[in-house]
Amino acid sequence: MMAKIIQLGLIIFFILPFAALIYYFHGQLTFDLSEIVSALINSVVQGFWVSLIAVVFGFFCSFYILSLSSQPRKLLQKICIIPSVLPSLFTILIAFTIIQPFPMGNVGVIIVLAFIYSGYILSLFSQAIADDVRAFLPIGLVYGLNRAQFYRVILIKHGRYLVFLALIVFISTLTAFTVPMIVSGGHSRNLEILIYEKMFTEFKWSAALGIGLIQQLVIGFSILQLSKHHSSRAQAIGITTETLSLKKYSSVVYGLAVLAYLFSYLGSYIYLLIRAVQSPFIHQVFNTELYTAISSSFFFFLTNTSVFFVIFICLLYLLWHLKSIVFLNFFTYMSTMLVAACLFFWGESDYVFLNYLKLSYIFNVLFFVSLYKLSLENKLQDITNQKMLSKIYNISFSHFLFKILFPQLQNQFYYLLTYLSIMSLSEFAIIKISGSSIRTLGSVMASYLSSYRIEGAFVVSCIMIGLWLISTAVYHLILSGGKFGFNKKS
Amino acid sequence: MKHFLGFVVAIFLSLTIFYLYRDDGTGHLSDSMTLKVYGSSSFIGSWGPGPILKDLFEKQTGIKVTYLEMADPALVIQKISLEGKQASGDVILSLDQYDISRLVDKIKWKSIDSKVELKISNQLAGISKLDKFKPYDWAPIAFITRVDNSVQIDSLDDLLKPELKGKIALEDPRTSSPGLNFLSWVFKVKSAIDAEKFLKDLIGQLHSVSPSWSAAYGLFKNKQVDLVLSYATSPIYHIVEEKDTSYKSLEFKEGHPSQVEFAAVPESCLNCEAGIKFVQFLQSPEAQKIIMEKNYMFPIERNVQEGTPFDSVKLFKLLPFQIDNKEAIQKWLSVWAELRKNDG
Amino acid sequence: MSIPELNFKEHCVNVIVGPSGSGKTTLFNLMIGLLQAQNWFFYVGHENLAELPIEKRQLGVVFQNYELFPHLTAEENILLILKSRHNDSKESLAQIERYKKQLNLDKCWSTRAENLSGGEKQRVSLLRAVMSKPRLLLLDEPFSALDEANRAESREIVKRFVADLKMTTLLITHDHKDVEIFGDHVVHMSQGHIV
Repeated sequence: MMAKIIQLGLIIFFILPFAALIYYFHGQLTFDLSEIVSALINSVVQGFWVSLIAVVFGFFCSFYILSLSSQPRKLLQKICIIPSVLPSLFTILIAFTIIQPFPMGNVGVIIVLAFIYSGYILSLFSQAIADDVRAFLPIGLVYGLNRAQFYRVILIKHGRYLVFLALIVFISTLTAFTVPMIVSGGHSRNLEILIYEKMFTEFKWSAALGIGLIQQLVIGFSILQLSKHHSSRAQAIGITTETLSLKKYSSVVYGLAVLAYLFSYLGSYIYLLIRAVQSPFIHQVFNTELYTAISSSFFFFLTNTSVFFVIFICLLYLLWHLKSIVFLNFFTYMSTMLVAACLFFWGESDYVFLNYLKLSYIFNVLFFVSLYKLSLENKLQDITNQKMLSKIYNISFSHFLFKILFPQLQNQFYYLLTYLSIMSLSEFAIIKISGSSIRTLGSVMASYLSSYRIEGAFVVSCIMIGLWLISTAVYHLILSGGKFGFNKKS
Repeated sequence: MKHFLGFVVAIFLSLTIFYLYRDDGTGHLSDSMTLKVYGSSSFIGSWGPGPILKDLFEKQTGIKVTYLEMADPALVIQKISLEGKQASGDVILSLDQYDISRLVDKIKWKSIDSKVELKISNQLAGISKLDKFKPYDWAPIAFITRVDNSVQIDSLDDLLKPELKGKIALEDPRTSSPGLNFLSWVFKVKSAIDAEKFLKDLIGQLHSVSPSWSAAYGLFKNKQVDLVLSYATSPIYHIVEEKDTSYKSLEFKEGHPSQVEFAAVPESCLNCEAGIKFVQFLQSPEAQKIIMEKNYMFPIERNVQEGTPFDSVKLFKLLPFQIDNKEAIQKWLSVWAELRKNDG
Repeated sequence: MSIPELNFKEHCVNVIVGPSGSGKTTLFNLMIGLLQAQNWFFYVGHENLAELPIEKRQLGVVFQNYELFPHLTAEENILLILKSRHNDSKESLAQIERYKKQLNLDKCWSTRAENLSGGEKQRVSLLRAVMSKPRLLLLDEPFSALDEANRAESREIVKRFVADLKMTTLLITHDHKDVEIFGDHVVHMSQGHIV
C-alpha cells in the first residue's frame, strides 16, 4: 500500500508543473501546426546530424581511448565528459573563437551540440565496450581479423547500446535551448525556442503549453519504448577496466581526433580565460554580488541534494517492494521552459528558504531522472541480487539502505555530488525563466554575457570551476573517510 | 559510511539553521527603510550604474535599496499583475517607450513630480510631459561599424548593398528594444508597402537575428559581422574603456530614432514614497552623471554631459520622439513575424 | 513448465539435476519467490510457501555467485543475517565458532567478502544460509563457479557439513558428479518436466 502511494506521489511530483499550468490556463491549449511542423523539422535535422557525428566520433575514437594504459585512459574518459557537463555557453564562446566566421543557423547549432555530445558518447561507449574488446582482442589477433571485422564484432554486441546513446543525444538536441537560442541567429528555431517565443515574446501561454505537451508526449513515449528494448548495462563512470593493447584496431587518426577535440575545447577556454584576466576591469568582478552568488549557489546545492535524496529514497523503497519504476523514463527529458514557467506563476515567497526549495523542486523535476541514470542506475542493477538476498533473509529496508546499499555506492555518490555541484553552481535558466531573485554563479555569468562583458563571464566561470574542483575534493575526502582512493570494487 | 551519514546530517543541520536564520531582510511587512528596484542586468550589474547609485541614494536618504534583476520589463509587469497586492517591487527601471505603450494599461502607476527642471534636447521635448514615467537616459539608435569598413552606408537602403550580404547583425524586435526601435524606424521613414519590401530584402541580407543586443554585439566584436544595430554612443565606450578608436557609428540621412529609458513606480508598491524618491533621484545631476558614465547613454539633463567625451559626439538628426500606440507596434511586429515565419 | 507433483525427502540432500534449459533455475526462483506463478503450491510441513512473500518463506539460499555483500567481512555477512532473522543468541554465536572451524573459515573470517577466494565465498555463503535457521536450504549450482581442484575439496566439506546438520537441502545442479556425491534423493528434469 505504502509503495503504491509513493509510486503515485512520484508521478505527481513530475507532472505537477504541467498540471499547474493547465489548471492556470483553464485547460486551454492551442496549436499552430505549421509553426510546430517547421520547428519540428529543424529539431529533427539538428538532432539527426548531432547524434550521427557524436556517435561516429564516439565509436571510432573509443578504440583509441581503449588502446591507452589505465591511467591516461581513465583521465581522458573523464575529461571528455567536461563539455557536456559545463554550461553550454562556454562551448558557444569557444566555438565562436575557433571558427571565424561562425556559420549561424542549423549548421552552427549542429557544430556546437556535436562538440558538446561527442565527448559524452566517447566516454560512455568506451567504458561499455571495454570488457568485450578485451575479451575479443586475443581472438582477433590470433585469427587475424582486420579492423572492419573487429569493429563488426563489437557492433554486433553493442550496436543497440550505440543506437540508444544516439537516441539520447537526439532527444537532448530536441530539448536544447541555450545553444539554438544564441547560435541559430534567429533562423532554425527548434521546439524549445518556439515554446520560449510563445511564452516570453508573444505571451501566448496556451500555445506554449500545447507545444510543450506535444513535445513531452513524443519524447516521453520514445524514451519509454527505448527503455524496454535496452538494458543499460554500460558500466558507470569510475569502474576500473584493465589495460588493453589495442593498437592494431586503433589508429593515429582517432588519436588525433580525440586530442584535437580536447585541445580545441580546453585550449580555447584557457586562451579566453587568459585574455579575460588581462582585462583592466577584472577587479570589478570581485564584489559583494559575487560573494553572495557563491553562498547562494552553495545553499542551492544543499537544497538540490536534499530533494534529490528524498526522491531517491522513495525510489529505493519502490525497488525494494519490487515495484516498476519504468514510468520514470517518461520524465527523462522535460521542457525547461514550461517546467520553470510554473514557478513563474507560483511567485516568490517572503521566506528565502521556501524560494530555494521551490527552485530545487523544479531542478529535480528536470534533472532527477537523468542524474539517477547517469550516476546510480547501473550500480543498482548490478546489486539486484543482493537486494533479493536481503529480502530472503528478512533484512529490513533501512538496514539494507544503510548497511548494504549505501556503503557500496561511494563512487556513485561521489559522481552524483560532483554533478549536483556543477549544475547548482552554473544554473541560470530555471532562475531566469522563473523570475527568481536568487542568484547563482551561473546567473552572474549569464548577466555578464547578456551585457557582453565576456571577461567577467570567463572569470566567473573560472571561479565556478575552481569551487567545483574544491568541492569534489571535499566529497572525495568525506566519502572515503579521510583517505584517498575509494574501495576499488564499489 | 559514518562520514557520509555525518555529511548528510551536516546538510540537514545547515538547512535547518538556514531556515531559521537566513533572512535577507525581505520581511512580509513593508519597511519604510527598504526599497526593491527592478532593473536590467546591464544597469544593476557591478559594471553598471546601479551599485554606485545605490550607495549614493542610501547615503543621502538612509533607505536601503535591493536590486532585482529582470530579464524583460514585460515579464515583470506580468508578474506584478498576477501577484497584485502581494507583488514585490517598488520601482521598475529600463522601461522604454514601447514598454510604456504596450504595458501602461496592464497595471496602475504612481504619478511622480520631477524635482529638477530638465534641459532636454528639442526632439525629446515630449518626454518630460509624462507624469508617471520619468526618463533617465537616452541615445539615438544607429548602426556601428569598424572605421576601416570602406562600404559607403548613409541610409537604410544602403543596408541592402550586395557587399553587405551576411555581414549585418540585427536584434529581434520581439525580444529586443533596439530591434523594435529599428522596426519602428523603418515604418516611420517608409510607406507601409515599402517598409515591408525593405524588411523582406533586409532579412535576406542579414547574418543573423539575435535575441538580444549583447548577442548581436558579441558577434560584431568577434568579427563575425561588419555591422551591428546598437546605440550611437557605443563607440565612446570603446574609446574611454578600451582606448580603442576603431569603431564608429553611421549617420543615416533619414534621421535616427531615439531610445529613451524610463523609471516608474507601480501602484502595488510597498514603499511608494521611497520609490518616488528614487526615481526623482535618478534625474538629479549627480545620478545623471553616473548613469551617463556607466551606461554610455546620453543624460536627460544636457548640462551634465558638457566637458565630457559625450559632448564631442556628433548630434545625429533625430526623428521626433513619440510614444507609438500599441496597435501600430503590434502591426509592425506581425509584419515582421510573418516575414520571418518561414525563415527557418 | 509442468510439474504435477514433486516430493522431497527430509533431513537429507535432494538433488535436482538437468541440462541447461531444463527448468531447474525457474523452479529454484519459484521456490524462493523471485518468480510468481498461478496454481502451484509449495508445502514445507503444513505451510504453503507459494502464498507467502519472499521475506516470510524463511529459506536459506546459496546462489551460484554466492552474493555475499562485498564490502562486509565474512563475519559481518553472517552476523547481519543472524540479526535480521533474530537468531543472534549466545547459542547461535557459539555455533558459528564451531562451524567456522569445520568449514576452514578461521583465516578469512575478518576478510572483506570481495577479497575472499571462490571456495571461501562459497563456504561463507553456506554458513550464512545455515545460520539463518531456514526451513529449507537451497543451493543453486554452488560449485559451478569453482575450478576443478577446489570443487572436489568443497564438495567434501559441504557434504560433511550438511550431513552433520541433517538439514533438508535442495541442491540444483547440471553436474552429474554432484549427483554421485550428494545424491540421497535425485530428481531429473528436462524441458520443464520431471523425468
